[in-house]
Amino acid sequence: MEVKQVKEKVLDILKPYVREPEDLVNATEETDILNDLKVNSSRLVDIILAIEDEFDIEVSDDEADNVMTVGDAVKLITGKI
Amino acid sequence: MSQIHPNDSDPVLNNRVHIVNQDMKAAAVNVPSNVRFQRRFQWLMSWLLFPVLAPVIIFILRYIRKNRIENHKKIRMLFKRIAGETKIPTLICANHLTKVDSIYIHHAFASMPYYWYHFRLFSWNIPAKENFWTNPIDRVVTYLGKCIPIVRTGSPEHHKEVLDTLRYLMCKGELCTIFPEGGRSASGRIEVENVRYGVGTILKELPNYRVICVYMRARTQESMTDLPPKGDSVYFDFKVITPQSVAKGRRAERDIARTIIQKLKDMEDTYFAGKNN
Repeated sequence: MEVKQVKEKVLDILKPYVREPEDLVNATEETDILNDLKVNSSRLVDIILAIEDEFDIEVSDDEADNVMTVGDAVKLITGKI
Repeated sequence: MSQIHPNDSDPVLNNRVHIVNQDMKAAAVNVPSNVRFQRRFQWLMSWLLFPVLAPVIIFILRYIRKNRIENHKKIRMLFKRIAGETKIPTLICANHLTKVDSIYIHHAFASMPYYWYHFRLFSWNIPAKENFWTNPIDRVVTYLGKCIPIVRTGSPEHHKEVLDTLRYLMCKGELCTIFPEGGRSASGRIEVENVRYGVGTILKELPNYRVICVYMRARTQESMTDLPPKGDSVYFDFKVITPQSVAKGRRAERDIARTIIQKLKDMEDTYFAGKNN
């Protein structure tokens, strides 16, 4: 799977948790999930679980703690699939 | 360490009790010795100064704020039976509408003398440091009120340390209170989708536990406030559950937290159904 496709899927996963859906339109790999997209920090667990289900991968607690930006999530996924 | 006692006539049950006690020990040793000492010292200071501080708070609550807990005698009788009879790790999970909910929960569940003799039942709780650590008086009162401040925006390591400490205290037979919504509910209703999974993080590591779900609300309370409305009577309901999950890791945390918040939501629905009839 290409990086672009992974990023699109990550943005799809983020959609239900983003306060302002328009923020996703301009999201880049540097976009901070908590600060720029204003995702509630307690929903990060749901996002990680959704990523595990979507890409059929396992993410450890330490790896999950390092996911700050859209790019971090994409990098984590592409490293595992 | 709080231990479950074996049954002399049942070897299978004895084996299970042994496994549970071993797992409890394992769950408790994660906490560094300096943290254990700090909490033990805090416990002692709280207990020593309880007869000074508690009457002042109860006086304010009953005679200045004039709040009354509905069915108070029955609640206290049930709590004594449920919490007092065994030291199985117990977590109180409540809805959250005012800054002083934990004080009202303490007041609802037992009298001052009862807590003095059974101080483990005076529950620990984890207020947000940014709200309760702002001036020296608040610091002293929260410290003596068995509070462990948590920084909501703190690092995962900080959150882990606080949750590990709560788990350790529960293994010692101490009661702990947590608000699964994380903060006060802005809408005035339980927001199921806002549940924090920290409650699941604490419980999933324990081999044996129970949760006392508390739904509490002043009768004219519409939305979140600092204090319950003055002179209001306070509706108070509680249920004991043991939420479980067949999943592992984060999924188990989510399942357990969702079960608890859904129970609280059901209790809220019961409250409003009764109010509207």
